[in-house]
Parts: sequence; C-alpha cells; structure tokens
Amino acid sequence: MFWRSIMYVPGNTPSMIQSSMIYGADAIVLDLEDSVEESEKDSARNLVSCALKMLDFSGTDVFVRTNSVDSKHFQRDLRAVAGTCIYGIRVPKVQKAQEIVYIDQSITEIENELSLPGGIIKFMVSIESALGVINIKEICQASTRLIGVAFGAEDFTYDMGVKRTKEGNELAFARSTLALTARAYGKIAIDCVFSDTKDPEGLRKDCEIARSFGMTGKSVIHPGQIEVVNKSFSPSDQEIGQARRVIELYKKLGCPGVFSFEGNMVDLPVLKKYQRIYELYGRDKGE
Amino acid sequence: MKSASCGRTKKGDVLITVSRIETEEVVINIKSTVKELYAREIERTVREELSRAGKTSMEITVDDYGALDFAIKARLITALQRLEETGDDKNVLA
Amino acid sequence: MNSTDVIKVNKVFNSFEELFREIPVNDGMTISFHHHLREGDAVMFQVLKSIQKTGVKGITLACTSLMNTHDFIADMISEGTVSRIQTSGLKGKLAAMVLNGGMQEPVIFRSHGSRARAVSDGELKVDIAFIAASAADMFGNANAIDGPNAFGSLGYGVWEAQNAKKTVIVTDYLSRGILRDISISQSYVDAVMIVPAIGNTAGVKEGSLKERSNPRDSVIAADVAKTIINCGIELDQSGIQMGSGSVSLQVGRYLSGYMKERDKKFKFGLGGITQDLIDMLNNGTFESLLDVQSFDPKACNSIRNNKNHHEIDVNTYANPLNRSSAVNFLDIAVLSATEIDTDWNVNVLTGSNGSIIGAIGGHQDVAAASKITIIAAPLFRNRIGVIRKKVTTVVTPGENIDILVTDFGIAVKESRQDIIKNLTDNGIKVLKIEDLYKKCISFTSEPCTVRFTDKVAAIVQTPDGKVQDYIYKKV
Repeated sequence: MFWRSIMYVPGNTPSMIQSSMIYGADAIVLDLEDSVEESEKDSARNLVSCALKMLDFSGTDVFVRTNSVDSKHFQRDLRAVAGTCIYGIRVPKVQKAQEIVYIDQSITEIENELSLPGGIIKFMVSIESALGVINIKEICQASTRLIGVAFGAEDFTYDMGVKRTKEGNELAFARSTLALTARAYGKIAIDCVFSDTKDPEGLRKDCEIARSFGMTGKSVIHPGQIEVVNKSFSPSDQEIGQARRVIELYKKLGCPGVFSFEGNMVDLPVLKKYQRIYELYGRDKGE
Repeated sequence: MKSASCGRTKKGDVLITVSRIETEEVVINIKSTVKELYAREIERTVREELSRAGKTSMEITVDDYGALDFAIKARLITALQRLEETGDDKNVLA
Repeated sequence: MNSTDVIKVNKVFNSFEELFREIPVNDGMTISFHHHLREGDAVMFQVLKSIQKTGVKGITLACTSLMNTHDFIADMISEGTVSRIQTSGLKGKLAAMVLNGGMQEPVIFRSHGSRARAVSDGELKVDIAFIAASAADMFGNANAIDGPNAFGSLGYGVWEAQNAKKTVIVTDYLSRGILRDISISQSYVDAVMIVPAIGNTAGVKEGSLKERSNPRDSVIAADVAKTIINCGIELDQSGIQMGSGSVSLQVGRYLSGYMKERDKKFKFGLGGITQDLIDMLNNGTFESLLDVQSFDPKACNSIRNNKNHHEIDVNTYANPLNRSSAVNFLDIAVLSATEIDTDWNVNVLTGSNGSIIGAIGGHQDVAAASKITIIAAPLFRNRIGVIRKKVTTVVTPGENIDILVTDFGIAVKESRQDIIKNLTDNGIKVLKIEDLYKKCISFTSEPCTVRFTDKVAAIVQTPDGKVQDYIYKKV
C-alpha cells in the first residue's frame, strides 16, 4: 500500500465519479464529507454506494471519506460502503485515540454482520487540528486496522488561528510530527491538499517539502495535479536506474550479505531501500 | 409527505420525483436528453428498483440528462427514502 | 470604406438591384458561398434576402458548409426560393428541417476535397459564386487578410472563383489602391459587391471549436500524443494535421515540447489553422503551415508577413483528382468522431439519435490519404456511446482508420500489426476495438436502434463522387 497521489472526488456528482478512475491517481477518495452539503448527505451516500457496486474501478484503489465520528452520518456512511470494492475508509477530523477504537469496532461489527473476511476494510484518518497532532502517537497505537494518517491543513490552520501560506512554514511542525510518528508505528503519512490548481510549480515545491519530512504521498483535488504529485513522490529516473543496476549486480553475485556497488558498500539496510524502489518502479513498468 | 425528489438537472445527472398514488400500479414518466436511445433502459432500472423495494403504488417522474444506471438507481433510492421519512433509521440499501 | 468619386468604377456595385441587372439570378440556378466566416457570416443572409426579393425560385445552394447562423434559410426553403442544398455540414433549424421531410430533394453532403473534385469534374456547375472577402480593389482582386473584418485564408473561395461561371466578390472594404496581397485575381472576378459588413470575425472561432477543456480531454490528448510519438513514424520532417478543439490544442502542446527537446521539426502543419499552430510555426516546431481555413483572425498578420505560412486553396488541400494535393503528403492525422463502429467505420455527421449535428469537413480526404489516421474521442458523451456495433451513418470507411484513442483506452486495427508492435514495445497498452466497445456499453448499456423511414433526406458522397451512405428521414 503505497499511494503517491490520492484524488478527492465529490461524492454527489455522478459525472465526476464515473470518470474518476481514468486520471492515473494511485488512489481515489469518494467524498461524503466536506464536498457534500448537509441536505444532500443521503444522496451522496447512495450515489457512492451504487457507484461502488455498479462501476469498474480496477486500476486504482478506492477509499470513501465518511463524515466524522461525531456526526449522525458516520454509521450510515460506513454501512453503505462496507462489502464493496473499497480498500478502506478515510475518517476526517480525528483528534483522539478513543475515536480510533470506535472506528475499528464499528468496522469489525459490520464485517461480522456482512460475513466479510475479518480486517478486510482498512481505514485512514485525517488529522486536522492541534489536538489531533498532539495525540498522534496514541492515535497511531490504537489500532492495527489503521493504515495511515492524512494531514488536513485548512482546518488545522483555522484551528491554530494562523494564516495558510504557500510556503507552508506554519505547517512544518505538524507535517514533521505526523510523518515521524506515522513512520515509527508503521503507518503511512499523506500530505495535505494544495488548493491552487493553476500553480504546478507551487505544487511541486509543496511536494518537495512534504517529501523531505518523510511523507510518502499527497491528496489532490484536481486531475491536473496528479502528474506533478506522482513524479514528486516517485524516485527519479536516475534513482530507478541505479536501483535496477544494484539489484542486477546483487543477483549476479549470488545474493551476498554485503557487496560493493560503484565504490559504495551495500549491506542489508541499504539493499532494502534499493529493493523497494526496484519492486515499485524498476521492474517492467508500462507507462 | 406526498412526494419527494432527489438529483439535479445537470449533465450526467437526473432529477427523480416519486409520489404515492391510490391505484395499485407503477406509472413512470420519462423525460430524457437521450430518450430515443435509453428510455427503455431507464424504465427498466426504475422498475427493477421499485420491485426490489416492494413499491407497487407509485408515480415516478424522471428528468434525465444522460445519467448512467448507477446514478438513476441511487437518485431513486434516495427519493424513496425521503418519501419514507418517518424517522425510520433502517437503511434501505441492499 | 474608400470608394472614390473621381475614378469611374464599373465593376463595383453598391446595390443588389444594380448587381442583379448586370449579373442576373434566374430560376433554378446554382449559387455558392464559402463558410470562412463560420458563425459570424453575414454575407449569405444579405445575398439570399436580396435574391428572395427578386422573386426567383428553385435555387440550388452549394455552400462549402452551413452553420447555426444560417437557420434563416429554412424559411426560404419553405417558400421556394431555395430548393436544393449541397454542403459539407448542417446544423440547427436547417438540419431539423431536412430530417423532418421539409425538403423535396435530398441534400448532398461532400467533404471539402470531394467538393473541389465536383467543381473540377463538372458534377457541380456553379452559376454564380458569391465570395465574401475582407478586402477588394476596383479591378476585382480580393483577399481576406486586409480590411476591418479580415479572416485569414480564402482557401475555399479561391477554387470557387476559378471555376464558377460568374464570380461576385462581396466585401465591406474597397481598397483605394490595388491590393498588395492577392488571393483571388481580378481575372476571375466579374463584380465586386460592397455591403455594410460581411460579418463578425469573432464568429470565426466558433462553430466546431470548443475552447472549454474538461479533464477527460486532457487524458485523451496525453494518450494521442504518446501514440503519435511511439507509432513508428519518424516525426522529424513529417506532415501532420491535428484538427482543432481542446484535445487538438493539448496534443499540439505535448508534441511541441517533444519536438523541441529532440531538435526535430514538422515539415508542415495542415488544415484549420489556430493561434496555437501559428505560435508553433513561430517557435520552430513547424517549418511551414498550409492554411486552407484560418480559425483565428490573428492568422492574417502571419499570412501577410511569414512566407512559411501558406494560404492554399481547397484544390491544393484535398482534391482527390489532384495527385499533388497536400493530404497525400500527410504522415499523421488526428480526427474526431460522433460514432465509430467495431468495423472501424466513422461517423462525423450525424448523432446516434439520427440528427445531423456536424460536418464532414476534410475528414474523408485526410483519412484516405494520411499514413496513420487517429480518431480521438471520449468513450461516451452524456451517456451516448461513441463506439457502436454499426454507426448510424458511414462517413469515413474503416479501411482508412488505424487507431482509436479514448479516455478509457487505446485500440488499434488488427491489420496494423506494425503499429500494435511499436506501441506495445514502448509500454503502451493496446486493446481490440471489441473490448473498448464492451467497456463502453458497461457504462451506457446497449442503446435502442432509432427508427427511420425509407425516404432519403441526404446523400453522403465519397471523395470521388460515389455514394458512401444515405441519411434517412426520421419517423
């Protein structure tokens, strides 16, 4: 599970849902929360549910962003999408470990009720407040079903009472904390949305910052952002070429415990990094 | 509530209005930008869902702008739920 | 307008009355117009209204194309002024009228190349050609790059002028001196008719060009560019026709970047010339442009000042009787479609519900001649599937089509194993058209067949004048 680009799709717009799988996003999130007005929550829920059952989403992993756990919609949202082709759900505005426990229990209940394989529905959470950032350690430890955390910068900066800027200094601590903690507990960390859809250079810089903290992917809100994000969170052609050569040499030498590659020592920890790149990018990849 | 509706009169979407009627029949009125090509399929989708939901005395009005089957079904389901709106929490999705 | 009182002009007319005294319009005549001004055309209206006033009946209207702005012709058909139409395309009220049986005689649809041929082989004998030009001089020379309503290339008008029995230039700008740039020579011109305005050049950009882009177009454009780059044709010094519209614009940008990186140039760009193509001429992506129709009034300066921006007439563009026509030198063509079937036949004229919604343009000519022909289209538009078992109207036969690029995948015709190998070797997934068809109906479901009568509403010709298909009147 390694997603560079994760695209939000408004859950109440049929035309966007039915073409969401063509843009090359590593994953998509069908949204029942912020892109859907209160009076239309039921429409969106049913639309997403029918879409999941009747359209072919192969080629991308699908998440559904439910409404937050304290809203009256959460249980219905979960129920509407459980047992479909989703990889999991994304739950917004999570602040405390007990919410994680609640989410995990809710999913377990539904899996049992629908006789689904246990653990098949994963979940991610969005951290969008100061308290959420502070509690990240407890949040990450609270469930093995939790696979990752995403950062929601708009609500976070609102909570903090600070201005959101393109340079993003105000987000540094939160990004770093989330990435660090997620990594420590084996979860992935997904960076926040870059709202300016007409500034690819600004987007690229934002991705660089997120990547430098150790985040491995980013949420996007428009198909036009996918190419930049995928590229930013992929190793460069050079790195891929290098990984390929390392693995070829490794195999040629009969898989030794340590060897020399272009003057540098490659032992197991170093080899694993190259292997990861090779597995994901270095093998026969049809662009 | 006598009738309820769901959906939008926009490209790729459909506005469905449902109402209970006295007689034991299902009346379907279809207005569609792709009527000549897909009216039959639209009607089939509507009848199938009504049958599955056990609805036998309904008038359905479909104002369609090229919505695919999943959207027609979803908008119909929501409209029926809204009509039911009696505080009944049971989710009617299969 | 610069008319002079000092010099006696005898070719220039200021009223239709005077003009028709000199060049009479009689019952049953064939008259022609070009469509360079597209939705901004006002010439057809002024000329036809004046003809109607004379009481003449039974005119055959042979236009290079007809647009929404020509809806007024429907009334003229009802009351008998116009009784036959020959064109490349139809829209709006006229199209509806033709399909509902409002015309006695079937409409004849021809591609631009087919029309050029019809005019040279005598199938289409034009009595009077009324040619809108943005500038003319008192001798009768005309162009479309000078004057307040300049629209660029006069490609369709030039061939008309050379072949019609009588030629009337219709302009709103009479030049004081002899024109410096002459597209139509005075020797072909019998009269110059001055009108208050020939039209509105803002309309040149409309009428088939959708500037609004949607994200699905970007997916299609990226795949079209990838296909062109990897299909096996050496792009350096090649000739390409990309069409116009948001997909074509984006394809152009991708290719521009690709060519620049590798220091390659297209030998020529062909077809409708947009501002983007002119930019690519200026930045060296194209060595030359062959302009039969300008889609941007800014082309005027380019034609005037850049010797590599050639104005070509429709005979040079695509006449099948002309071995030297430009389409014969095309390597790559990108075309659109309303429908395509699993035998690769393409429809670009009618919609799946039987209505006439487009024009053939150069589609048949380009597809027949180009080394590789690519159709770029979404898998479905507002639920209407683009891929079908059989197209509603065959405009361009499957033997001339090689590749289909949709937003849900790329298909290549089985017989083009060379292209399939080149694309697959470069990591591009190639599907069979039957698989794309299945994908299409998995979204839209199978459509009902629309019912038609057996009364012919229109004939679709092949470029060499035979019948390609018929369009029938609706039930």
